Amino acid sequence: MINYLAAFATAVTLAISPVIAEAKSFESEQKAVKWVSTSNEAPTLNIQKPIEVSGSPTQYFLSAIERGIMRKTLLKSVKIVQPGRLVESKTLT
Amino acid sequence: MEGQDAYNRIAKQLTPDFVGRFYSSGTNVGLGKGVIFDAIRCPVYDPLTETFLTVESLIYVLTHECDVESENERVFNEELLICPILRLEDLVETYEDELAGELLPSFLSNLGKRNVSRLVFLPPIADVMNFGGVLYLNQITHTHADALQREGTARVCAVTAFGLQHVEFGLENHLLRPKADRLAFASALVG
Repeated sequence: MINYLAAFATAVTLAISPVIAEAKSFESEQKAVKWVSTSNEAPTLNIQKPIEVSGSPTQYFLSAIERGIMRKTLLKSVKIVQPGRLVESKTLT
Repeated sequence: MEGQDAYNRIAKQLTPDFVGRFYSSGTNVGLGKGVIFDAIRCPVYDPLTETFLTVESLIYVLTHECDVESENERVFNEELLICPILRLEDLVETYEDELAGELLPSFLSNLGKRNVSRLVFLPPIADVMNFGGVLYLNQITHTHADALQREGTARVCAVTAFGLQHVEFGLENHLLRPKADRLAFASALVG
């Protein structure tokens, strides 16, 4: 009976160990990208997600073409009142 | 893709109460507390002419209330930061003109999930932006307080505390996240 319990305990330990190791690794990775404020003042914003330096794995970064799309969309969304013109600084005084 | 279809794709990623909790009429809400105006004159850079256009735009006021309210007798409270609001249907139309159509659904889904860096989605406002709009935080610009009083402008509404949190999270993530590179004297600042 004792041998049976010992074998069972070993099997459980072997089964669980890799999971724990993986969890620790994941946790340390999360800590590496979390922004921890060192200020003593109370936070004024409720941060809904950890702020990350380089973006989360799911972050969608706008491509150069998409940034151009945003610029063109702005011109489409607004009403142009007057085109731009260069003015000599002397005439502004 | 029609504006309604685009909005539906985004809405699938939002919580059921997202839209209902986002806006208030803003009637008694002071300037600088998440107010939205229409037809506000502001500058937009035109790369073709290398000059700034004067435009009228639907805008979200970013400047904090303390710095713009007229009853506050302070210096430097005449200019305010604003962000133009891009109507979703305009964005969809331009996107389809410029990129392959199959990329658009992925873009919209990520926009709804708040995965798109620099963009904040605003839900629809009836008769103003029927399918919602987008703040592109790199298009933040400025205007003068008098531009809000000009004839022809309209005060649309204001965001609620919930809506404000949604916008400010985007701003904080965009403007205040730590730099990737370690800057000089950084170690002196860490407790």
